[in-house]
Amino acid sequence: MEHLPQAGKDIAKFPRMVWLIITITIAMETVAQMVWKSVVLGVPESAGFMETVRTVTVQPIFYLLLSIFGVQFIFWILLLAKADLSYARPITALSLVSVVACSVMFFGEKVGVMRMVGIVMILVGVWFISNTDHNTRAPHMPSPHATPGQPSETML
Amino acid sequence: MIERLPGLLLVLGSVITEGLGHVAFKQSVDLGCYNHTTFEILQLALKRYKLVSLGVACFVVAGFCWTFALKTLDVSMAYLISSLELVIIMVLCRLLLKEQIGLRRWVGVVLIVGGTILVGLS
Repeated sequence: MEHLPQAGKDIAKFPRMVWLIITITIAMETVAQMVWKSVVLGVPESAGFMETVRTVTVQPIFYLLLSIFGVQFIFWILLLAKADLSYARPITALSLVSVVACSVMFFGEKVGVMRMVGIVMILVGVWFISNTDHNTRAPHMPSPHATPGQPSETML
Repeated sequence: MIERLPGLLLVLGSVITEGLGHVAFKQSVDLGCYNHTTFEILQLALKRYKLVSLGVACFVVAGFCWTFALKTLDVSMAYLISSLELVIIMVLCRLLLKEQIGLRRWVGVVLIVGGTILVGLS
């Protein structure tokens, strides 16, 4: 009965499944960003369009990146089917925090005051968003099991 | 400034196409409600492969724009502009997906964008 709207509620019930997928998405995003960095580093500064494409696509790690994107895509689709885009997308900004954390752990980067403040702002922002309802359109929608396999086909 | 213009436009283009890609993905699994099984969701995504491909195409275009923007623009500048992506996505969510973005969600977004900018600046 979790999908039934509750009138006047403003603290959403904690959507565990949604947050599980969000966590996986953020972890994958962090890995993807680290890998992407190393792929782009292999491209010479002066490379033109075709040369850039060539240098990127000959790197085996590029295909690792593509498969990460593939898996990430599946999780992202699952997430979007369960939550608003305007809920899910801002929360994935947490990957910024994890990227900074990884940079500190693996590359010994220093974190200045400004970066610290930024990270705190992101965390507070995510907290605000996690306190909103993760599906604002659900109340206007029919129950899933009343009409199985009959999504509206009007948008194509 | 004028020699930066192509780079700025490319970043903007990358940000907007990425936002549209997300909207296309969202539409492709828009089941009308949020309680479907994983199988049902993936099945629907397959059925609406046109929307999914449109989304993927948007991301590819965005990736190219971004890569080439970085050739004429320094990373910090590009990064600053790209932090606006979140705002653009929120507007697209409101206009195209009719999601309800209340005050609390907007406050969260503003904080996140501000935080992103601070992390990027340092």
